Amino acid sequence: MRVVLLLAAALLAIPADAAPVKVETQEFAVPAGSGPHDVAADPSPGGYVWIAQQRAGALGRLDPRTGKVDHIALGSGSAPHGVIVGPDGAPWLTDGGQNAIVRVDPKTEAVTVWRLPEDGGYANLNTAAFDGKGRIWFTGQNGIYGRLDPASGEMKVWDAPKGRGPYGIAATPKGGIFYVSLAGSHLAEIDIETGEAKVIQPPTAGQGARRVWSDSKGRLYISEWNSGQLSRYEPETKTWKLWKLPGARPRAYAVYVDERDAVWVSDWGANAMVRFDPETETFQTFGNREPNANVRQILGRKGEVWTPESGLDRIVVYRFQ
Amino acid sequence: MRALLALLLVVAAETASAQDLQRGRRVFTRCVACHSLEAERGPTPGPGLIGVVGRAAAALPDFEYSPKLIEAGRKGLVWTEDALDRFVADTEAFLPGTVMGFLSIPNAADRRALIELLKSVR
Repeated sequence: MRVVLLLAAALLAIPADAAPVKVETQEFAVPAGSGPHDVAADPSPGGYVWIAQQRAGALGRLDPRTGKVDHIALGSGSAPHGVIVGPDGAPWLTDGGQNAIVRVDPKTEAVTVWRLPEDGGYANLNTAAFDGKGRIWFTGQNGIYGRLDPASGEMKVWDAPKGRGPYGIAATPKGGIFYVSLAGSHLAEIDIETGEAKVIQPPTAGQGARRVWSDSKGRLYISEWNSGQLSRYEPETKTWKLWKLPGARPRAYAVYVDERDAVWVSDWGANAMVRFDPETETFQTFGNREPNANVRQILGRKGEVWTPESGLDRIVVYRFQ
Repeated sequence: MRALLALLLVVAAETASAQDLQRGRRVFTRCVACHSLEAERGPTPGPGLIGVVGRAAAALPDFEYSPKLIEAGRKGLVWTEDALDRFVADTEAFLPGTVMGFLSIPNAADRRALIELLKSVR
């Protein structure tokens, strides 16, 4: 484990009229080559952090108090992409290798697998989010999105309105579900009862949206890979706002909004994490300590933002006050 | 008799090739979210794969490759059949740190069929 104070570096990257946030980082190594793709921190302070270990075909369980990482095998051919913590407190995974949604019981470690219908073929599962009714929604990059009701076991899969590309997915505080399409460069809102997805075109054509996250007001922040922008869509007013990330060639991969509505973005162009303050519309940049961190996803809990550095086989937490 | 045998062998080879291509198309569903085998397709997250077999890594002028792939191209990586086979067997083992990330096609016959498909599009 390694703790680093990043305030000094961050001060250099923000305008004089914005107050920098003091951030400490701590690093946790995971086994070399295990491929940490996504992480999800249990909401309880100091609780476990779950890791989708794509190349290892396992769920990692990091104890931040000791730095110890355990592994739970998910099944033959497993290659999990995403992990989130469900309303039941359990880690839920989108497992591309098994073409399935997977739940792991946090106490017994029992693994439950719901496979997608075989006639739909390989979905290239990406990410999942729970609506306000206990149902998990998921995206498949090959052009599908779907819904699993764990209570009944019913799973439904729909063809995405513009084909391949469905990538990041997120829930709003009211339980609405939105996803973004990387290949299709758009945002889509899903009617959680009918399952119909409605495409919302962003202002920038070909922006290459990778991830989406909601703030406390239900506004959607989107990380745009091709354009290097952070964009925001307000469903109530149907309006967009765009901000170019700092640097010569930003590449926004992951986005997450913390409990204070500050926005965190991983920028592969600068090999950095970027914090955006929507009030002052300023960025604060935290350079990664080594090249090629390749942060593909971000999730947090109160006072903490967790990042899997997929290129360096380690997990880094940003703690702020 | 010899002519008939030769004809049968040719037919068998062509049939195997057609089967390979069919299998290759099935395997290519692992790639289709980001890559295209069509010339007239719009922008895709990954580079187009027409003519990739035998091409130097990071060689398409209109695609913005990751630093890792550009570095590999500078060092002389060429997408030979052998290199492609080792790459898609475990992308992160062969060339770690690309934007593409992890893909593994563990079955050698699947990889062979995929490469036959890639060879067929030029």
